[in-house]
Amino acid sequence: MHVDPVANMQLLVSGLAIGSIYALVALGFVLIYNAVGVVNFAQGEFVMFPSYIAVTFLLPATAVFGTIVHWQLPVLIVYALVLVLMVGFGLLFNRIAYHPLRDRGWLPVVISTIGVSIFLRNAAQITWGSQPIVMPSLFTVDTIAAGPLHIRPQDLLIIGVTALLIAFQYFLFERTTLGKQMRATAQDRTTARLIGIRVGRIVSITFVYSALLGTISGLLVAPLFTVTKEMGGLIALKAFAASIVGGFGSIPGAIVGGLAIGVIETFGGFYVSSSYVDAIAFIILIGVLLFKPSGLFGERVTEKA
Amino acid sequence: MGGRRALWIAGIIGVAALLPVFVHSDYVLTLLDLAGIYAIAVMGLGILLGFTGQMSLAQAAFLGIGAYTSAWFTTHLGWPVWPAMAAAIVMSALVGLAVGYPCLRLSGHYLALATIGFGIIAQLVLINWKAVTNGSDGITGIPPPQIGPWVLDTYGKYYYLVLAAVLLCAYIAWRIKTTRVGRALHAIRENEIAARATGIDATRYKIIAFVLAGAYAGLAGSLLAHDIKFISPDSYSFDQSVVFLVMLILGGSSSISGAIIGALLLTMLPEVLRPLKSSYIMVYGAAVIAMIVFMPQGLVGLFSALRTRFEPRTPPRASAPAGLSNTPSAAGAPGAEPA
Amino acid sequence: MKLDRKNFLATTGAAAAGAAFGFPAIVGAAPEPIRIGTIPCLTGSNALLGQQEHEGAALAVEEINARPDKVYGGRPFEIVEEDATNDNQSAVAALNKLLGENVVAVICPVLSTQVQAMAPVMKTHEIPWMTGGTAVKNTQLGVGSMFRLRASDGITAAGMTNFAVKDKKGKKVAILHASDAFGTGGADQIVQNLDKMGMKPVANEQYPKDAKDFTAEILKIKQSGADVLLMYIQNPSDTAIILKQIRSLGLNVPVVGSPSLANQTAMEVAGKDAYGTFAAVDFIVGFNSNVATHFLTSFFRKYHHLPDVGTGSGWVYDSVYMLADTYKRQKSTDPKQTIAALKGIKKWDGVLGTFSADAEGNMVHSVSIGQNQDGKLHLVKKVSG
Repeated sequence: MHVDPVANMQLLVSGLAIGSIYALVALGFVLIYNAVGVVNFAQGEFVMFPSYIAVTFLLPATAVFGTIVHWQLPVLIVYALVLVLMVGFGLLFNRIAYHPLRDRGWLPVVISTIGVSIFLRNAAQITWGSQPIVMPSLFTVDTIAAGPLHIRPQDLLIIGVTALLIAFQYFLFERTTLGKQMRATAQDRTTARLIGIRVGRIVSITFVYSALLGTISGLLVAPLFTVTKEMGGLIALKAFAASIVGGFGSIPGAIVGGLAIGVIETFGGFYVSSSYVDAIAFIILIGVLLFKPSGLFGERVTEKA
Repeated sequence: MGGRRALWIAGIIGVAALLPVFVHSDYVLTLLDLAGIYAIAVMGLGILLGFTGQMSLAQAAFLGIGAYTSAWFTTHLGWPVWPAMAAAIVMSALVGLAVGYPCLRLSGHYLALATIGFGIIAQLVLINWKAVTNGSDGITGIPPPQIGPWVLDTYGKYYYLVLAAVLLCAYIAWRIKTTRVGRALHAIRENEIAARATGIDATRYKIIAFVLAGAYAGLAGSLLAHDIKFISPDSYSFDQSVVFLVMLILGGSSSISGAIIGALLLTMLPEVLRPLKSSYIMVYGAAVIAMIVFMPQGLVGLFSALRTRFEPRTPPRASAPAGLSNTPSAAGAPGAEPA
Repeated sequence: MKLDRKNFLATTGAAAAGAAFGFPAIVGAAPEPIRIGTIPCLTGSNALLGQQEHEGAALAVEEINARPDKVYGGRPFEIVEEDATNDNQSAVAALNKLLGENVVAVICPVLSTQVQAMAPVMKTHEIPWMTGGTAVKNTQLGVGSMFRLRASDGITAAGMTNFAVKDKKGKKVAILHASDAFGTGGADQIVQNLDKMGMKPVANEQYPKDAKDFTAEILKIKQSGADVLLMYIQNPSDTAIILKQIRSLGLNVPVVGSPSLANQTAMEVAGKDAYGTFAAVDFIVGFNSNVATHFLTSFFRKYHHLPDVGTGSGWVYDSVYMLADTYKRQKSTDPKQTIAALKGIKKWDGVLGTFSADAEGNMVHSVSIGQNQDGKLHLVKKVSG
């Protein structure tokens, strides 16, 4: 196949766009992993569930339990409402799926988050049905032409918000007391407790923040993906991969990992095979793991064992 | 093994062997066959995760490799079922070796991701390697096994094959657990560095665990293929691997009976919940959370706790198979609470 | 309706009383329901199809039971429904559960893999199997009593290919399809049809399950110089994302899809991105018979949304009515007689058109080409298989 510079640029643009979505969701993984040392297998549902809530309030008509509701609230109010509801969701998630298991290692927590994932997907199906729902975009145009390239404004928004969140997270962890307490808790919980950090509270905050990150991801990707109960599944898996490849626990690692996966699979799909695109991404990821088992950016916290 | 426990096991096997005499429903027998097949896959995962502390989220992929090997040898080359089944076991074991070797350096979440990646790759190969797998459309006309003049073509007859396979696999797993290999695996799980210091060849034993997990899944896959007589790639997904993991952990991960009970329970639970109509999978999800929260040692732990309560004379060591998930160090993997 | 409900309560009440007191004679007095089994995928990633199957069956049964003249011997219809979930093993288990509940006919799930998994069990039970699965293979599994109430992928793909090559004057045909059995089966049929015309696709792109970005596939198709694109995709969400990206990336060629491109759900979800696309469909609103008009009105009244007629609820509705009709004509629910009668069905009017059974059990032999014009599907031409 001949090399077409325009096509390559377009692939790069699209790869970075989908990659920044992986990176955004990966931030949520990293946050929870750093705080409590577990992988949250319901992270994809943290993206899906708020998207459903948002469309319910946003659209002129939505079927909830088979009954049509007509909320159609203004966008900003809906966003605020969803974020508030998801604070409660994060607290509840911690209470039910993590807190009772906090002293029992990582596997039981993995299982309970899987349980939450099964529960939420089917709860969503029962509540909103199986029909995909379209979330309206904030933009009036789908694409803007930049020379021969086609760029979606929604992608630019995603990239912008991801950058802001990274900056915020950096500020939070490096400059604020709360962030420092969160890091201390992540590194050594016993010591953190000894120096007077209220570990339980920090963990709750972490889950809330992670739920909010999921919510923001959901609100951003829903206009591109449509809202379905599976919308978070593969994204979460790729985001998990991104966070591991970057070096689990590392925020820059998650970003680089996410972008790398997005770009690799877009180019791989074009130049190698779109049927094997997920395989290409994972082969490279496994390769990275084998040659640099701690991930690209190593670990901020050494593997806790 | 205490005499009392031997009696228990003999009794359970007896009841299991007599089941088809009383149960004539094809539906119930289908489920029992499935539960048995899953139990074999879960026991294999147990050797890897429960005994050795190595995470895997690719058990369904190994099941698929076994199923496709068996189907290909019987439908494509016209082999009888038994050698095809052996080929399935060997093939999955070899792939286990091929996956296990490079993964030796990985543990915990890294190993989880590597195995997830392998599972996804394997499923894509099943979908795309059409010359061998017939793609997404799957392979039809897989023959049932035959013992002399008897064709195992009903769920009732197949049940005995599955039961025999489960018992054989359980016996092998028990032998592994109670002999030198098992102690080595256990030592690796508890503390790999210490194990190496005492002269255990951790590399070799970890590979053995991967190979065994593959072989168990290969047998399960082959049994599944000849039971349903049709296979297609969608049955060997990441989601199915997750189900196996849940079965193992809820059953009680380092115990053999736990693996079997976990498989049986999680196969039957959604069926029992069917009358709830559309909400039954949701209730199933909630039940998974409740079980992991309220039964720290898995179902096996719950049973032995009940038994200890009602039979205070039984010495606890004889009655309580080691539950895994209660202590952080036993999880044997990174991410556990700092010691 | 009220009267029926009362009747229903009275009969079940009597039956319960009979059972409780052990007087089978009383039960005999109440007409025994005719039990039809259904195995839709109610949970998992194909739940939308399952929900539509459920809705079609429930509506048909409700209507039939409200009109005793439609029913053989005044016996009410009863749907026995088991979830096929998503995988083959569970579908077989669900089928075995159904078969233990005295059903006289079964409406199959639409996933062709599940139908193939169930085939060995089907072969041992001589009852009518009604299917809406479009894989060509479904009626060739050696199940003698399988009846398909939809156009097979063979007919659909032939219609799509002919339209693309002959009407749209396509010289370079590209294919984009899902990696599931539906997508790959349909794409294979298109390739075969092109082959008959001495052509090869210039691009044949398959995307993996749950993909969310299709830049690579669309750019490849664009680079291949394709002048027409054929799509074989069932998932409405994938369809919508792909159509949007086709527009975004400036692939300006006619798009011709399988029926799923032009069903109500896909048209609603894709919105303006689907305007101008073509599809080979078994049903077009406003074109078909009175039966269809009645179906649409009563469906909307009951569920407050429009059905996916061809791909979703219509064939199930037709299946139940076809069975009811056959039982009434035969004056029997005996499966063997029913199978014989169904094999002899000629020019039976249903929602999806006029059904006539062929030797394989196929009942639909033609598709239409429709175009989505501002969200409404208009007939372009009728194609026969």
